Amino acid sequence: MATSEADIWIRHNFPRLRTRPYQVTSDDTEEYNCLAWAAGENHRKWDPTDPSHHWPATRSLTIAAFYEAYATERYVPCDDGTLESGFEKIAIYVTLDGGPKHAARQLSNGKWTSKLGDGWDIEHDTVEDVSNGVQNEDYGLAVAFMKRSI
Amino acid sequence: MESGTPATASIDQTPIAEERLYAPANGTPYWTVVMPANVINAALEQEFNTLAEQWRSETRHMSLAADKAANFHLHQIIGMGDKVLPLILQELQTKTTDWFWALRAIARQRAPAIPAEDQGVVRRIADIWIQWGRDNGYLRS
Repeated sequence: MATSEADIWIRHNFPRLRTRPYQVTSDDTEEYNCLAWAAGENHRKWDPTDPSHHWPATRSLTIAAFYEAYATERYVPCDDGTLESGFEKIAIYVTLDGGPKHAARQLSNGKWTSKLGDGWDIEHDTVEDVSNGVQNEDYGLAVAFMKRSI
Repeated sequence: MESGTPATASIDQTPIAEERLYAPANGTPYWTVVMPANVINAALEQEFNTLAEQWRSETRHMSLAADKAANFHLHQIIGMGDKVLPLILQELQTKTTDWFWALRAIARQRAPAIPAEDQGVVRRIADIWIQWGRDNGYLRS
């Protein structure tokens, strides 16, 4: 089976996905980013670092500001990313310098969905699958979780 | 050789550079090389395209504008200043690349305001910048 452009790019930038299963679930697009996708939006970008983009909270690259932003979508902080019946969860990824870099959303089957930068949406089994990219500015680790009732 | 139009007639004879002697009233005369505008523009466009492609390639996996803006290729594009605005704005007409950080950095206080309802909507922000470019002479109407 031929390897698609998406697969080549994904496996280059997210080395864990070279050996872990994932599924591409969208076309590549710059019309939204991971922070919007975690909130369930695919028509605009959420970004606290750029006033051109939507951010419904304090414009600060901190976990506190991310809690505040996702609280506008009824999410509240929770302990971890284990699947809980009746709840939808998001994971917030943070790098060693303390800045949030990425967010993923849990699906009803317990897997996670991530928008990878300006690339594709993927479905991945665990929150760890998109951690630790090959470049310095990777997504870091999922250290904060939030949930909302569905 | 047969008579008729010389073989060189179809070759563009426009010099790519011209030497000019400047003789200041109170200083040493000096030679300088003057490049025609079309040559400068072609070189600028080529450099912009190369830097833009490198920037896109190296930052495509990133989610935050601030992280994409930390890339040295984008720094070089921003460093080109006003003269790169037409190239960025032309590209915005056909691609949805997020050039907004660079545009704000170059335009500074001249940058258009983005209404709250349009924030994050890449196509709408692009259209605001394209209109700004037309209003300010960076794009033809």
